[in-house]
Amino acid sequence: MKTSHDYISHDGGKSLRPICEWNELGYLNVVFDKGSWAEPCYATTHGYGQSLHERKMFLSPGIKAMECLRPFTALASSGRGDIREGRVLLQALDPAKPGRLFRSDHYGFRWEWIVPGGDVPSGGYIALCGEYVQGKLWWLLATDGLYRSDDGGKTLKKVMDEKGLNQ
Amino acid sequence: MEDGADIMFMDVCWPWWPESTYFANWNFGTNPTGIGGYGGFTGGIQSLGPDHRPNYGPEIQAAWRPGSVWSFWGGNKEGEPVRVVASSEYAYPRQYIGEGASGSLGGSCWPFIKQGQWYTMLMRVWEPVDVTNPQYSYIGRWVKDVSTGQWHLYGIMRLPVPASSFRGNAGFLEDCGNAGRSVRSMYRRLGYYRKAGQWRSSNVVSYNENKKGQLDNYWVVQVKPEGDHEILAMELSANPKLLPQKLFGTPLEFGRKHEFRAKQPEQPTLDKPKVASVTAESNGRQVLVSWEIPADSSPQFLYRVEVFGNAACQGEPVVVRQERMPTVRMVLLDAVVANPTVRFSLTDVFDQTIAPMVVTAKASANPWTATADTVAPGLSYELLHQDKVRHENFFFPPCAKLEQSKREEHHWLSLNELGTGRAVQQGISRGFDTSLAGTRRAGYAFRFKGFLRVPATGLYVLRMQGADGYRITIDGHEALTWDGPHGPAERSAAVHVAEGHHALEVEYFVDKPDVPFFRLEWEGPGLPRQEIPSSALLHKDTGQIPVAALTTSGGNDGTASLKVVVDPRGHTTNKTRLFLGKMQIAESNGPSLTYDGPMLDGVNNLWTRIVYDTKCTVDSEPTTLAVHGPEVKNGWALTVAGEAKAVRGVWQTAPDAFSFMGEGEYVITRRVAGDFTLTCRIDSFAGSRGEPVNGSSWAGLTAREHGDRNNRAWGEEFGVFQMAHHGLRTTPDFSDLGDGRCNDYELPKGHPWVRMVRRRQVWTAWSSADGKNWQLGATHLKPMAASMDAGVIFRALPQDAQAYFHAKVSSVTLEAGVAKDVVIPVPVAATHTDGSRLTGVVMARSDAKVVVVRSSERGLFRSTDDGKTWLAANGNLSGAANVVRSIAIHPKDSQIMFRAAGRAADSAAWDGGLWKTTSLAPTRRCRSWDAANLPCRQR
Repeated sequence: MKTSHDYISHDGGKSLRPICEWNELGYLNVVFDKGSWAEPCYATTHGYGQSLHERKMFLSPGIKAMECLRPFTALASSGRGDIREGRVLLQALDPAKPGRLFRSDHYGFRWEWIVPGGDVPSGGYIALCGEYVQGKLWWLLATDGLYRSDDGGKTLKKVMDEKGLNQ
Repeated sequence: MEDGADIMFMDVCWPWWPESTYFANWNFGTNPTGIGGYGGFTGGIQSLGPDHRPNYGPEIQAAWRPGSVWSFWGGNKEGEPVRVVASSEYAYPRQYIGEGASGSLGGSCWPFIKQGQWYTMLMRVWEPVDVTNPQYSYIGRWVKDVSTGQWHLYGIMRLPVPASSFRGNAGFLEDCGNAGRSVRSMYRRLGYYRKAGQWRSSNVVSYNENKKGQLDNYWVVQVKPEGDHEILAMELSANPKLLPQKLFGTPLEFGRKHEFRAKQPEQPTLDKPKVASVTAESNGRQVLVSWEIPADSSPQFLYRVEVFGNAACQGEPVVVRQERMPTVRMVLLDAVVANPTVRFSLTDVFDQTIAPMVVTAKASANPWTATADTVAPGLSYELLHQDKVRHENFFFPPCAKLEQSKREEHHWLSLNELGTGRAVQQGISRGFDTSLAGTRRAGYAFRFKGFLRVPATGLYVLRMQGADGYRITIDGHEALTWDGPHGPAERSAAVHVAEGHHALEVEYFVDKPDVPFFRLEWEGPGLPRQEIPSSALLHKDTGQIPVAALTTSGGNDGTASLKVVVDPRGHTTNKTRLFLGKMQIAESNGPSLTYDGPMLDGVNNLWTRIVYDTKCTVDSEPTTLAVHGPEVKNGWALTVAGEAKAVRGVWQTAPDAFSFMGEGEYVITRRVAGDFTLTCRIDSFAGSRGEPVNGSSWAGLTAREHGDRNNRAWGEEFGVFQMAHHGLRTTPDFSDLGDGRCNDYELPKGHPWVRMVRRRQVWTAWSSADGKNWQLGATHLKPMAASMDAGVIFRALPQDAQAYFHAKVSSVTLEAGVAKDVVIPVPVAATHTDGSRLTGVVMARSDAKVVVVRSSERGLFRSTDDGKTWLAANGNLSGAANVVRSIAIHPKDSQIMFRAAGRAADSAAWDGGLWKTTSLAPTRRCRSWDAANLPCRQR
């Protein structure tokens, strides 16, 4: 099995070097929102992970409902107004309960499920992103299309289908 | 500053109080190496507006007062840490704090430190005088209010190493929690240090600016003239738009070191030592000498007292006492001299001396006579609670606009208010046992009453370190009082008392939970300075209080059998408690109690506390029991990983089983190379039924790179352990700046079996209810040494503990390789991901209206109007370059993007790469992309 790497650049993208290498692990997404570039958070094939001092990395199985959070299909962070701590969002592939979001308001240490209203995706999420300052506007890409939320994930509105066609 | 200075000082000024800041002007190490620390002042005022500008409101700035920090790291090879010796009235000792510090002295409010004023910060390190080959030393820290000329002692630390100088000093302005979003400032001037007896300038400050993009701290630094010297003024922010505020100029260039020199006189202007008065008295066998230092004197360093039998101080003195201790103002010497004369000398912290002062000792007044009351061991006490709090400005000036001022609250501010308290408990205590307050942290008070057993007629000095207020009364005379909330700065008083029993009353209250502190010491004829022992503290015996009989047996196998039987003497016994030293080890709800369990190695001091008639207690005299047990052997090595002097009983109860009781940290390990599986069962642990042990004590498994080292020199570590009050945990998976040394989440409850597995650099922690079916608890990638010391860990902090932590583990196995039943769950495969589809979405951090969607075949779609319209953003790219796997947008320029794209070609070779936009303007349609052939450095 090949070693799986993630890379970091400290010079504006001129060069990259590997910071984590872990066999059997697939990196699906990464965010830097823990106040330090040395502590990225990862969505991985084996769950939510966070790195520390570059070469260390930890998977967090202590989260409730962890079995359905493997893999983490999407991970994103957004702001919380004046609060500097990042908000990390995610949803795991959970065919039995599509559309749910798993949300942490504190660096990924504590999590809660939220069930959005409005247009609820029928599939799993692939990617998420959130507005960085106030954190109200989110974009959510699910297997059945692109969704938008203007209230921090409480309600969703479908914008495109999975082929990229406007709704 | 050069390596090798023993004194260093500088003036600092805060032009305004910003938000959430640690102004650390001290960051030092000592020679020899091994001890380091930092210190400064802390806190802040909430900033204003969306850009977090400082709140310059004059009333707020004038009313706010900072807190402070002084923390030390390291210890000696026996694990002995740095200890607090003396404190200011505004700082409180904290022996165990965060970030691994070994000793700390901090305060929450320094009332005399104000915005816009200059303060001289001074530190000196020294070894004791008149001690051959000392293995310890001291560091003192002082603060001078330049506007008043008054010096204040901050504190004195005892270092467990013979440190003689500093290695250097640095400083930092740390934003505590807001990532430098606001702007903060500090001014510095007149920096000096002394090396080899010569004063030298410390007037050059270097700023090491990182490369941009790592830690973007923007400094504006300006050198400003002031009289015969210059001021180095600095402002700092992570937001360059906030700079400068009060200065001029542009931020320092990133990626290089900047040096600034502030002109100043070659030699410092030093305050002079002064002594306001020296007095002496003698009873013919002892001489008591006391002196006063005026507030504008330079700080005392060494005092020397010589006692002569002649008024001219000729010949050799009868007795001499000298000491490098800045806090002492009163000494008592045994000296059989008629009409003694005292010659007093003093050296200040800069080694300047006063002209010796000569005084004739006056005759002591007659000693107070003893009483003839019938007494019994222990002091009578009353515990009071004050549940109400009231707003009153004691530390902060009144200011309706300052939150800290508005929120300042107190339970009580004076001993005269104790009458408003609610009596919740009373009885007979073993001396000044303030632990009778239990878990209450604030708003309580004690009234101790009884007798002081004086062993011999003579002069006695009482030395009190107490926080908060206290009043000590002997034979009806108010001997020593310090009312109001304050830190445990030492105060002394002397009494002349006859041998026998003397009426004693001590009132003491704790207002707020900064850190309560109570230590009352005495010294007398032939009696060196020491805490007043419980054997010298008595109460009037009425013959009507319950008594307990304690019988002991065992002690040869690390355990003992103890039995307590209470004679209630007409009272109702509610609880019987058994104590070992200061810690409770057992409790019953009736008049008898039995204990069969672990004990400490060596002599165990056992005593009982009876709770009777609901809110009365009585403590017994101690009984001793010597205990020994089976030592750790059979290839296992026991290492004291904490302080060597901590009390403990660590025993090997079977070839694969161990037990522990006590304080400190201990590992029992074997060396193992490569992959391994380490397993044990935690049979029992204190805290599982709510016992009042320190909740962060634990027992379990550890693997360390250097298991034979203490003081955190053991290198990298992985562990899984049962905590006393916080469940089953592993070592941290975050940066752990608070030094909790454990993870934030619990592993499953009800799992006594724990296991760790090493597979190359991947460490997994497991737990099980039955030792057969294992559940994965944590997965860490941690590069560590090929060979590790792996085994059992017991760790117990004293801190708030009221009972000793104890635990038993069994079935300990350490096997090479990965156990067959260790199976990491496999991920669930995603579905509905095939075909041409959207694969990702990214927003621009700098502009929320810019959104980019990636696809599996059609490249990127980009919206610049909040998603209303979308355009392809692929330029001339086609084919595999539009199978986009990842997209990144520059955080500050939404026109700069990276795309990672590609697919497996028909030949199975990879077809793809990394592209970067080269030009978007003016159409913003991403028409131009360049392949970014980034070199990837392997480490």
